Amino acid sequence: MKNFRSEEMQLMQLMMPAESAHDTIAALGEVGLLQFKDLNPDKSAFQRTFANQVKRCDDMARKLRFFTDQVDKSGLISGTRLGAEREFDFDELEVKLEELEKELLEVNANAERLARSFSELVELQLVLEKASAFFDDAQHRASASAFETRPADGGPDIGVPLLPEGGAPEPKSMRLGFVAGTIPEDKLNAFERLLFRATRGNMYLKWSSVGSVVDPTTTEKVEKAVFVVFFAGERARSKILKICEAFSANRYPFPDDPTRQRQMNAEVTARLRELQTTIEAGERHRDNVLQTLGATLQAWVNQVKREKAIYHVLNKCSVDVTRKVLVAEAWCPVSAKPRVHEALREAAHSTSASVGTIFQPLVTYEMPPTYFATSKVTSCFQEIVDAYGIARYREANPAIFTIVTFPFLFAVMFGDVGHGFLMLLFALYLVLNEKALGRTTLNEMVEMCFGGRYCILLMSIFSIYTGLIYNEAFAIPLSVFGSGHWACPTNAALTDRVKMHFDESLCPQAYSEGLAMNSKSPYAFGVDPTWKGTRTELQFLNSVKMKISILLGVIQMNGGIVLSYLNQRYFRDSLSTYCEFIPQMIFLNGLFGYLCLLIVGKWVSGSTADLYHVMIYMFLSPGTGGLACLDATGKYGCPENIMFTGQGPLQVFLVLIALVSVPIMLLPKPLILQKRFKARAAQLEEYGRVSPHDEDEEAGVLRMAAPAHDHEEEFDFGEVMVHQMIHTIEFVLGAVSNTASYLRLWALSLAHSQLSAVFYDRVLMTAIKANSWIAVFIGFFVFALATLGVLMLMETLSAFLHALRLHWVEFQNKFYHGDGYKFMPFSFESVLAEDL
Amino acid sequence: MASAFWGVTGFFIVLEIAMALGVVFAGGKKDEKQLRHLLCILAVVCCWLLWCFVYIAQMHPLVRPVLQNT
Repeated sequence: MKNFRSEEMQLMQLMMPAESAHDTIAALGEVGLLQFKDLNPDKSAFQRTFANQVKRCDDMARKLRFFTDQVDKSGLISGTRLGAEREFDFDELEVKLEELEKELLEVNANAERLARSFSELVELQLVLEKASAFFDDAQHRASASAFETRPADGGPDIGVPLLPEGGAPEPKSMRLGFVAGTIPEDKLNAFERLLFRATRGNMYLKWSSVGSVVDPTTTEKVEKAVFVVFFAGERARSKILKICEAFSANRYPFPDDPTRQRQMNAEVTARLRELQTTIEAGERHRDNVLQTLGATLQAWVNQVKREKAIYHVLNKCSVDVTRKVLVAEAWCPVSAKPRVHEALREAAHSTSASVGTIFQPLVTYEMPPTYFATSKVTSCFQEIVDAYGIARYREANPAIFTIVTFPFLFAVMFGDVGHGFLMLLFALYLVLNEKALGRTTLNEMVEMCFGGRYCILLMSIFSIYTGLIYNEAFAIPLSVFGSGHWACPTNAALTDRVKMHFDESLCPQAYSEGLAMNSKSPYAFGVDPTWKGTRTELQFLNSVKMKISILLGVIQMNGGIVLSYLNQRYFRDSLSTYCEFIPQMIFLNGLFGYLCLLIVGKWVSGSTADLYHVMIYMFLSPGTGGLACLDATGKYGCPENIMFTGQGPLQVFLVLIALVSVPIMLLPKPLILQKRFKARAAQLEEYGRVSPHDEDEEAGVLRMAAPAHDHEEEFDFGEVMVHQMIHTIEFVLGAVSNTASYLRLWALSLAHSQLSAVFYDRVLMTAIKANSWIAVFIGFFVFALATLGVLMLMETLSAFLHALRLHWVEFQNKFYHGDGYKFMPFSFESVLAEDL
Repeated sequence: MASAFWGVTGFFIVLEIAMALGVVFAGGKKDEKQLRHLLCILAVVCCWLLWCFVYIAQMHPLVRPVLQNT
């Protein structure tokens, strides 16, 4: 059966002529079904044969990452013209990439330089405008105040210099100087304070904010202000210059003379215009370069990824001394060998190598990797199992059973037609759009749902089915098969619950002792809707669901043990069959299988036996049979607990064989293993004593083989015994605790139906009874939100997790080792899917 | 055992036969067919088991539905 056991694997040896090795590996990468073994595990990455090529690939990958980055940043659509350009040779491509990188770097550096001088000029222009505005302003005010004050008192003109014209000239150091520039606005306060302290207040700062401007040094947009500092003296000047530097204020030349200011302004404007055109031309050039790059980028990226992967594989090969042949070892599924042969033949043909590649099986004792060729439907179930542990090579694979039992157990907990239907819509959306959705990148949550879309689909279908069985759709009972199965105890014709509801006097007994069963056969499909809303509903449903949980659990656990038998038969381990499988079956079924039979028997016969008491007294006093409870006088009573004749002796027998099977699980296997080992050791010894007299060659072979065998033949009785003890204890305790663990099926199913009933009764029905359409609207809104949020999201998740646990722990621990390792073939498909 | 029991059980058997025929005629490799057969049988058996348990649990109910006023 497909996927029941992992694919048969073989370790193959490949001997490739060195000149065609590269192309051979490339052909094998297309096939994608070989997992190469590292034959130089002791060599570091730098000591390997093709370390240089890998380094070159890394370098090219770096360049391509840079290009991708640039293309992405420029916002151009990277081309999808795959394979439109001719394929470059590896060396050619390297040169080409080198050239392109140099060009692009140069273009970028130029653009940066231009942008810097552009923003410098912009700042200069701002300084010129603002500072000249300060000066003009000051001049106007000065002349205005001079004009105002002069005629007012008619006194001497204060504008007249104190010293006569041509008097002693002002000392040079005392002349007022100023520095103009720009500074980030948030630094302005500190700047002013420091200036004030440094010049002891002997300065004047005038500033005006100019909004956000590109800073020439950082090329970032910053809120800036233009400032002019006036000061006196050379020493103050040098101090101020240092402070400007410290605050990263950009200083700009600013002439005193208004005419020169205007002249400079005009110059700056002209240069700005000129620079603008240069920058635009540069950008056009850069866009052109990136556009041509973008068209071929993806093809190059793929080529480099493949080359790198090929050299990684080649590095795993061992090179023989003559350097003419590369030897590789690879795991290959036996079924894929013809395809590999075909690929090798084609590769040899296309490289026109004089010698073809030799492809031959090797003998090995190593454990092969586990490989399941899954389809899109089965892969998510395989992943559920793999998340617990990769199957041992050729061990029975629980995933194929999980395909049905996982959604089924989920649905037992999530049974509701309405919720199942909503889920079905979601699953159908994912499945029907799988091609479109598979191409796009989804967010993590959706991606996870998308990966498990077939699992969700099956879960929803089973949920609808179990919903039909539980007779619930959004907590509303469905009444497909009529309600004629229960009637008023005094009036068998009265079966209509609604009538009884509106007129209690019709049948008062229905409210005290309950309805009586009307027909011989119960409701044909699922739970009778009559139970809904009755006082005894929970009592009845709990009892049924609890028992169903136990029954399903025991059946699934038995399935697990049967699978362990299939494994033992496949691996020819009859010792484990006798010492594990058979006693395990006896133990589990002697106790819990018997319980299941009692449950079914009780249902079919309508016996009133108390199964708790039967089970408890089966251990406390097995001989009393069904008379299992103590009456007031301390004697065994409860005759109703006897369900069939011979129950007492049968129970004694069952308890006894269950008890006997425990030591059988524990003791014989380690003892027999030890005996076998001793016998083999003795045989070897005898053989060894004979062998020195044999021919040299044979002895040599034996000596060679001996150390290899030593490793697996080592036998530590204590360890084996402890292992067996753990295994036995785990099974015996597990039989009890795992059976109890299946009660989660009942608990979650109960929680689900109660929650949905609460939302239906307390929210939707209350709102409808309020008799106002606003209330109905709000009520429905809350109901829909609660259904989606609590039931569809949280409940699904919890039911999923519990189903997962039941499979991982309760089912798989009966047979699944899960200590294999996964087959990771070298394939271009997976290589190309990775990031560069 | 009432007739409804065998009726519905018969329905499940028919369902299984129909699915098995579907698998046979849908084609595919032998090992894939085997897997599909297993899945169909498993699904039908699971569904039948659940229905069967619920059905026989209602054959001789020990509690009776007692109506209540809301």
